[in-house]
Amino acid sequence: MAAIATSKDKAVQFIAKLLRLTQTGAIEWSVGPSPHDTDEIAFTASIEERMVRLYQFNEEVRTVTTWDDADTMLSIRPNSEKRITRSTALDVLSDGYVAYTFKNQAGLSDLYDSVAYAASKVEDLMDAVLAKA
Amino acid sequence: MWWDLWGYLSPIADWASLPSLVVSGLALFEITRLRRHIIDRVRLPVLVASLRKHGKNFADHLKSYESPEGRQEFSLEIAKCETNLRLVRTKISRTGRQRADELLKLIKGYRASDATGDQTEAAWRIYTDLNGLLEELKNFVAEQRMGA
Repeated sequence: MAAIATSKDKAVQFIAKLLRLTQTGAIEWSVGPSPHDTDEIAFTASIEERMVRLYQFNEEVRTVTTWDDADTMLSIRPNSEKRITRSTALDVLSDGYVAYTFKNQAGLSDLYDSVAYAASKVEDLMDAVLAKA
Repeated sequence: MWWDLWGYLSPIADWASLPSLVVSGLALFEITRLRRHIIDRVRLPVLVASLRKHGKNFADHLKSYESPEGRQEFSLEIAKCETNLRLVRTKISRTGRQRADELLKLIKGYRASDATGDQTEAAWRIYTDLNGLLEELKNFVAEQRMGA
């Protein structure tokens, strides 16, 4: 694996590590407003004295479905269709500004699910309800 | 006389049929290859989506990996993932295949020592490497969609 390791691999390893640290409770995430939509939330955490923000948002993407021959053979037009997809992003903040964004990286939506579960303290809620007589 | 040539026609036809047999064979080979290529292009996005689902399930099972049930669910997921991984590896680029082979090796090692010792690190490595492969496949599937 080392021979084909790239910076993408490093990003994948970073996200997997964040997931692991979240699951073990080593990273505390707090709920805040999403930078995209006021109706949605984002999760923020402080890691190694840097702030990171994790959120999901709806995004319109165009996908090429078929290729059409236009007037000449040299001008082939793509037929595309619009789709709304759910994207996940992790912002690395610097002085409150977005310095870098990991977007739709493999494992990012797993991290979001895990963070949402941990930050909402669902486990505590379930334990409290189940403990009631 | 011209009818004397009649006797030569049959061996000429016999010899002429040989190149046409070769051409037919090549055409059959190309058609089979094209058919396999088209089927692979259709099936690959479906298989990649199922690998993504396995990744999600791995993340869920890793949450409860400390318990025997969690470990058992992880092992079951690995078995399902291995099958899809074998199908995917025949349809992708050389770099992707290399990653898939590495991952299959990790899975084999995990399954071989499933009952012995702490396998937490190996389980996380499988999850991480699967995500690495998914990143590689993301570009490959996008290129295929664009007709590259």
